[in-house]
Amino acid sequence: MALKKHKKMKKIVVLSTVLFVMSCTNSQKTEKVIAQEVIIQKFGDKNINEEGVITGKELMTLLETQDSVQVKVITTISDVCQKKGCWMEVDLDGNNQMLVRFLDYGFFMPLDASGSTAIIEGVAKVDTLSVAWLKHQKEDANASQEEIDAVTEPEISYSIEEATGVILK
Amino acid sequence: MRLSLKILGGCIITSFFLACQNKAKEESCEVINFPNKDSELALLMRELSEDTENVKSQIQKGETTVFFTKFENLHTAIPTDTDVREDGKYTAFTDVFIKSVENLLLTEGDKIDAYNFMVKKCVDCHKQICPGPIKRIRKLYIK
Repeated sequence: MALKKHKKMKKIVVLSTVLFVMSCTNSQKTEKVIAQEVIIQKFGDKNINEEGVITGKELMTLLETQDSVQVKVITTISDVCQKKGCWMEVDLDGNNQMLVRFLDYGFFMPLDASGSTAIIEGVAKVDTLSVAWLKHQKEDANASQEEIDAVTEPEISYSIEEATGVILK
Repeated sequence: MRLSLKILGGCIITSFFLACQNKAKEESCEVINFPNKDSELALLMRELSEDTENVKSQIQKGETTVFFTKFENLHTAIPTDTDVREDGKYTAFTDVFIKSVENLLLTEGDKIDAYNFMVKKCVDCHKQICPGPIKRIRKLYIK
């Protein structure tokens, strides 16, 4: 009788231990979720996700053959408007930047977001500023003849004027 | 035996509690659109924008035009750029804008022209002082 009771108790203790370990595992997962929540922030479209995301380099390749393209691009933020966070500049390939503004002035970036990874959704476009136009701009800005003569290459500018959503990491 | 049962019960409750807590955390994820401290004037402009959306809808439906914004606060609210009122441009634009609102409220019958004139006054000011929201403001026009 005492032996039976002892075996039953042993079973209960083993079962309790298993459940306790499971609880601990669950707790670890919870911490991971909390950690992710602290790091990832969404702005604008709450349904934005990372599906179909492309790199800045891939975006530049797409814009070689078309003026604009609907994209979800992953980049690093290099600069943020320090008054309100109403625009940001992101790095495309280490040499080229892209200016990003937000749909309807409806959401802004944290002022300290520089250096963060951003996934941006919207229509990206490319504009080429000709040498003649750039020289004209310099003239209007009362630049010296030396500065005007220094303009020899057209300038390519990339932008997303109305980003619909951003995921910040 | 009783102690073991207590441990067992405790573990089950703990497991359930942690599982529920996990779910609650996942659902609490929020979208934060304005993460920085907004100035009084920025908040007032946001309120005015929403107010104007409502007025646009009222005019389109032929309803009575009602603004809730306290327009006199446009002269006193603390701006993001603290020197915005220094050269007098902002104050002049604000006076013209408030007159356009008064004109809209006094207009009988078709208010569309008076309303669009008021929106234009917003654009005129923002062209000079804070061009960021111009695209959004232009969407307020009744076409």
